[in-house]
Amino acid sequence: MDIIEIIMGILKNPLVKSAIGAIGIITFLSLNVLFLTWLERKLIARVQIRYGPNRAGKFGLLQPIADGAKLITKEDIIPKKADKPVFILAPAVGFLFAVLPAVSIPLAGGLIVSDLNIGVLYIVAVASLSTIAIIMAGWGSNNKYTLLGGMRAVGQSLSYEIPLVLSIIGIIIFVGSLSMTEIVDAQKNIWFVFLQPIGFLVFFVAAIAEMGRIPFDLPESESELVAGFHTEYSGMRFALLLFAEYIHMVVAVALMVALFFGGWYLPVISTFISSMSGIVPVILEAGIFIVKMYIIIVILMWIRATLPRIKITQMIGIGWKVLIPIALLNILITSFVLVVLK
Amino acid sequence: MNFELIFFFIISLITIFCAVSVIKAREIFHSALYLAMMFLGIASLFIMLNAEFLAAIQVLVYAGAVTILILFAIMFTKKERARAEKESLPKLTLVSIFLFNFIFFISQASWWNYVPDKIMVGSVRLIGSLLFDFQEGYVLPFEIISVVILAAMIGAVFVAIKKGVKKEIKRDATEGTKR
Repeated sequence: MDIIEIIMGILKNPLVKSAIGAIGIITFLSLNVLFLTWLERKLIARVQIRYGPNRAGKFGLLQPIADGAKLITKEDIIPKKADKPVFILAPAVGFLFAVLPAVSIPLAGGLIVSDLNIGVLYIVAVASLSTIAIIMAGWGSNNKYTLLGGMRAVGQSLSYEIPLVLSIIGIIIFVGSLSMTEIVDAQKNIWFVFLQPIGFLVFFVAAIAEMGRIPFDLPESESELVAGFHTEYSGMRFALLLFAEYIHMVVAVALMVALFFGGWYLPVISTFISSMSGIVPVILEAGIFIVKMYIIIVILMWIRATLPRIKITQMIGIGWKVLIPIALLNILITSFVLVVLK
Repeated sequence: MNFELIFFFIISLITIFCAVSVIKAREIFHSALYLAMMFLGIASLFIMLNAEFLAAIQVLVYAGAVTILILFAIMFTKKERARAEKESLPKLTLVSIFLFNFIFFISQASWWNYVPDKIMVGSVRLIGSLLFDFQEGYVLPFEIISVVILAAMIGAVFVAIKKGVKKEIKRDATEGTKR
């Protein structure tokens, strides 16, 4: 018993707690990313009537590990005229800013690293920083294609961050709190997808744009810009940039589940789960959350396999002329309805 | 010595270093990156004062939007290594004297000695009620500021549109004569 008490005492130390939280988040995200790279290749291959990876391990499941080993052992190339410190730091900065928002996303009741009382705002604020890493990569490489990719990334993130934030405001008005846990708890009876369908639509489109996925993957459109902002990267740095991008996707989808799909709540099953005690309900709730995440991720991959890429002018136009007015309208309607109901 | 103090000194040192580097960096791109880091440092100081809302806004507006806009503008410029200019000693001393006087007189003022209390938890609510409360809040100044900012925005759009339209008209005219 004494040992357990000592361990619990150590765990309550904020430094130890945050260290464990950081390790937990990075492990969770990395495992998901490894699985996602495999899932994406396999799924898109099936859509295009190919086999996809099927050599390493059962169903090619070990493919991500093989890829990782390949990327680690590759030669590390830095362009001669590159801005060296910026070029070297860019992937690390990108990784950092991709991981940071996950701190405030609850996976299950109580399973959250830090339940900030400004949760949503913190996530949006930190997520907006990841553009800096893309600009650093684009500028540091000293290559016109990377620069163009970086510029597109900035235009994209500047014009889609506004609708992204505006679409969340409807929910914040409903809940009356910025804390992620309280927002999820408010969806015990009805998910916000049904209460905020317009907000969800705007959020969905803006989130895809912020993730930089097809049809909005203009910063790295390979048919125009070679590979966009990460053209000059190779080996481990490239792997880190790729990791950051997938982590971005996982975090954005997790945010979507927490904000619009009721987090760990399921209509009937949640009542059963809440009657249990101990560590079992936490695991079950986390399981529900992850299943919901993967359903959305598969939809995103499906979109990627189906839709063509749009032009940059069209894209910026959609952001400013369609999404922002709709999001503003959503805020107006939401506040109006809430005032009338009161 | 408690952890908070140690962290405060670390963060302050980083922030000050970044602030100095903004001026001292050779390349303007590096300056902008240091600026972003400085904003993040200031945001961390806000967090240490329990002003989480202010910290988030600091990151969202300054580090997220302003710095990115600056970086965006830099991307349009040509990449050139700036030559290091030698600072002249008389100029430096003059500036230091002025700065010292400035700081000295401010530090004599009574409001300067005010040490900010740790703001209550839930400061979003506090700021909201301060801003929008009709009796005790600052509704009027807030709304006036927003109108001023809106006017500036409309003005900027107006200036930009006029130039673009003029160019288009000119181009159309020259193309017309060529035909």
